[in-house]
Amino acid sequence: MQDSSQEQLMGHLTACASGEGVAFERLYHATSAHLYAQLLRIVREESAAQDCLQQVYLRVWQTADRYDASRAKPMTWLSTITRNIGIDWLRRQKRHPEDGDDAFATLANDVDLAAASDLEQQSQALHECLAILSASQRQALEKAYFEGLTHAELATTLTQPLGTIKSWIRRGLERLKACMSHGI
Amino acid sequence: MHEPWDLSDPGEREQAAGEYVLGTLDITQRAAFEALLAVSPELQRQVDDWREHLQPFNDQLTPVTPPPGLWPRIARAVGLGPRPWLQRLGLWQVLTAGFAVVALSFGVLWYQVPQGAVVPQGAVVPGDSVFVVLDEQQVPGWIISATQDGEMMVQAVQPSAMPAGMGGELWFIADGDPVSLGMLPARGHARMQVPEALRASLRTADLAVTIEPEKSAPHAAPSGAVIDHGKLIPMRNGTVSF
Repeated sequence: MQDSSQEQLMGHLTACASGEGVAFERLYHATSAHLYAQLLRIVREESAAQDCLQQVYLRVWQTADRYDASRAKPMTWLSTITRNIGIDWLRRQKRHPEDGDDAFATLANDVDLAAASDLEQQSQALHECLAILSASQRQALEKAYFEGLTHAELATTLTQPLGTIKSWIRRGLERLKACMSHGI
Repeated sequence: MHEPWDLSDPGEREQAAGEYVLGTLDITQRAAFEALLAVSPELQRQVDDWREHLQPFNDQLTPVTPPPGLWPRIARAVGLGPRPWLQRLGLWQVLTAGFAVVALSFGVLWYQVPQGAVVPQGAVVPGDSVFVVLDEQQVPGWIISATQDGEMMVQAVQPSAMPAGMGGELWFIADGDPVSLGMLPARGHARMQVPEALRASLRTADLAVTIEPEKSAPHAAPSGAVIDHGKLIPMRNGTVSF
């Protein structure tokens, strides 16, 4: 997101903190498509993603006064709240899979198509710092990031030894940090 | 209980911060990391930085406009739209603030998790508790975590500099008499056992760390300067993340 729009978002958040509904609506229209895409990637089910998105904006409205511009860009702050809510939802589903049978049954049809077309589009506009990661590093980081998997769960999902997973994650994080900090 | 990692090494701490934000740490590692995060501004900055470093994963996703019915639902839920006087009053926020005060007065918000942390319900094993040993400058020296059955794991973070041959000795004080649990590690981590007879008082006992000669440990009674003392704080579900 451009710096100018980040500044606008900052203004909206400050106004939300003083209870200005108009700013809240503007914030919603400027950011909801990004946060909804994020939730679709995490929970992979449309109606759950919409419920989560509602929770996200309720929390944003309630906690806008705690946004600290010296600690996070507005979009990063919003994305962190979104990811927390999405991954909480995923973990609840894992613990009570019986509640989510229907959701997961429809998932395969719905989402594989969506995911396939997403991947195609993603490769067009891949952030340069993601492009420097090896395919296995990127896959491990991305799965962990969006699916809430620990090292051990990644090892099972990707059928790789734990040590291999840990080293993909470690090297991937190192590269990403170097690129994001210094552009290398 | 824990993977052998060395949080006294700055490089490892930085890496742990990345893995914490990424979400790959296991339950006990995450609990130990959060205990340290709560008292370490350096680590909080690193966590903030890692959130920015990982943001490209979100930015790469193609935006998807949510269905048009969602905004009215949200606006109604926060009291905006049909009844504008609610909006002017900021009633929702007043109610929320009121609820927070009530929650505080009942001691619900006893454990403050840093802003934006991923804290799934049930992330912390019920019954686990933690004590962070701080020196006079409030630098965290060790993280001590205990399970309900009396097993303790100690991780060195930045123990105070001590004269050669001296180290930190951990004391368990249940009924006024200190019992030594042994010397704390200068680096890395160590397991310690609370004697069975004392386990019932794990939650109420005081812990203290004093500077003692390493060779003759464990000692019958403390004799050196106190680095820190306090109690284990239970960690349970219902942590508040914002």
